[in-house]
Amino acid sequence: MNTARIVRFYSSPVSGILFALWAYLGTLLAAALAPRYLAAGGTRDIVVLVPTLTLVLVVSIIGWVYRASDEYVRRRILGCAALTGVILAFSSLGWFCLELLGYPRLSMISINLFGWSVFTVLMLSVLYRAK
Amino acid sequence: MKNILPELRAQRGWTQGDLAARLAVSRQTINAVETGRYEPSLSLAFAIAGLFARPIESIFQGQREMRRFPVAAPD
Repeated sequence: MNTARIVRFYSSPVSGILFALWAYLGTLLAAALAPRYLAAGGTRDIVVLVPTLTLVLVVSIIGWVYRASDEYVRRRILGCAALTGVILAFSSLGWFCLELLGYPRLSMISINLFGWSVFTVLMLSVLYRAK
Repeated sequence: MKNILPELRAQRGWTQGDLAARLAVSRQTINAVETGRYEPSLSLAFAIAGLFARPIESIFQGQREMRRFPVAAPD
């Protein structure tokens, strides 16, 4: 494998992760707006459930990138997951304390979005430096 | 764990990217191994030794870092 092929390998997963994340965010937005604009029925149920499929796509691409990476990059990706968990634990606890002080209550989806955003940024930085 | 990877690489005029390409790993991995931030797996160490046609112990030297956990059970 030459250097150009390695650079190409790490470029396509970055594109794949970004594409899947945008698809997830787009379908999530559509699902959030669906109850307001679509009448109850099959179409609305499908639009609401589609984000679970795009999340599967995100997880699948990250899993593929993990399996296709070398040992050091794999370790860094696991480090990203651990760091994301720590950041989520502290931020959710911090917001809980702020809620007790009168700050507005947040939806569970905000934790989901925040966690995925943090993990994606950390993972993309690892993949970018692995070029 | 110390290693003489930079010296071996310099003897051949290879960059970290060249070595990474020959070992089918990322340049980041080679950099981490050379600077001692990462100890390579046995398979990668064998690949490095094979590439430079030297025994592993002549490339990697040093004591294994002792960890507090897990504690080995006494015999």
